[in-house]
Amino acid sequence: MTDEQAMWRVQSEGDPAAFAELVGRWEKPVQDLCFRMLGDYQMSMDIAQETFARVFARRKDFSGQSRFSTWLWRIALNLCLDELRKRRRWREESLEDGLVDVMESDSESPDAALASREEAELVRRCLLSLPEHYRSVLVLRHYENLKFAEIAAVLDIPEGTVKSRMAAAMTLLGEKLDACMRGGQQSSKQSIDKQHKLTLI
Amino acid sequence: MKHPSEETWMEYLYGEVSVEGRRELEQHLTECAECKLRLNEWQKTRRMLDTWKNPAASLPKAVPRRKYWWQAAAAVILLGVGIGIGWWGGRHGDLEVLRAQVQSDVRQAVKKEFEIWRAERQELFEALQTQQEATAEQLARLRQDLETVAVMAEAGLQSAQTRINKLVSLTKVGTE
Repeated sequence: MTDEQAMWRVQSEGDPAAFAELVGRWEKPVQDLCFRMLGDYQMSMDIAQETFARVFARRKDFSGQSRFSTWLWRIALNLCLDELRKRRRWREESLEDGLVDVMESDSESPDAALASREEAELVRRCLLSLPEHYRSVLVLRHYENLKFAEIAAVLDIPEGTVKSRMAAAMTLLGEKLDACMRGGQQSSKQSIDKQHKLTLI
Repeated sequence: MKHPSEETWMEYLYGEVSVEGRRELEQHLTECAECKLRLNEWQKTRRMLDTWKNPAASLPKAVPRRKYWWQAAAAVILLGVGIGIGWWGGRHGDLEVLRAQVQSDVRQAVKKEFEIWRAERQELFEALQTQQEATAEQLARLRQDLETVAVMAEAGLQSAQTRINKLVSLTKVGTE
């Protein structure tokens, strides 16, 4: 049974088994998207759960013209963006508060484990500091492995724009990582100017 | 020298370029230090991105694909059973009895697995529904509380207004 067939059953009959099948297939990818967007494990679990509750509540809205996955990613992404806006509004966002749990390989020495933990934390911080429209594209392409065309469908923007945002996001992220690794927490004026320029894309 | 666009490099970086396109880009890289440097930077950033792992990871991203594997494995087993039946039947001539027995065993095993799977999914769905109902109930209670507060506030405002009016009339009498 394809996702679309399962969704059709959920829509027409409210079939719990078909819905459970969809949840089983997609809960981990959705949780991962939320985690990458929010940088907070517990929060990402809550938002992922809310995503499926919303899918069920709005099951009649699924038109069947797009793929189920496109619709699902869009719902999850919008909930993440809402959450980020809410946090910003309430001034609750603090990069220090997020839970970082890095899975370390057994073969790593304590020093190497510490280094990779620090590196992962650095990536998390820099990624979370990217503008949302860059982060969305980067997370969907790099971590969720969506093709550029699929991302364009999810975000409802041209494919060329997705690619140019991706390039800008990678460039900006690379600069931020470099600046942090050099120990200069305050990025150079040149980097800020470039960020302004890139944000306009 | 004409440089490929950033969009094209992104396609290259994430393997979304044709074989021919890849060959051309790689040829360009051998001649253009500028593009090579940029690509190296992006590749470095890509590697860094991989260091941040999801604690819940080991994600089965290809869940549907896993299902196909299961189906393929089942098909191979059934094929093996079929060949076995054919071989056995050819030798012993007792094909029908054996086929019925194997079919019955396979059916029972599949049914059992399916029941377990279905029960698990049903449980998950029920939990989700219970949670949805609990949330709706909480919202209803919250709404009721808010309405009570609103009614009380309204009554308080009316009482304050009456007192102000009384005070104004008393002040007027005092002045006259």
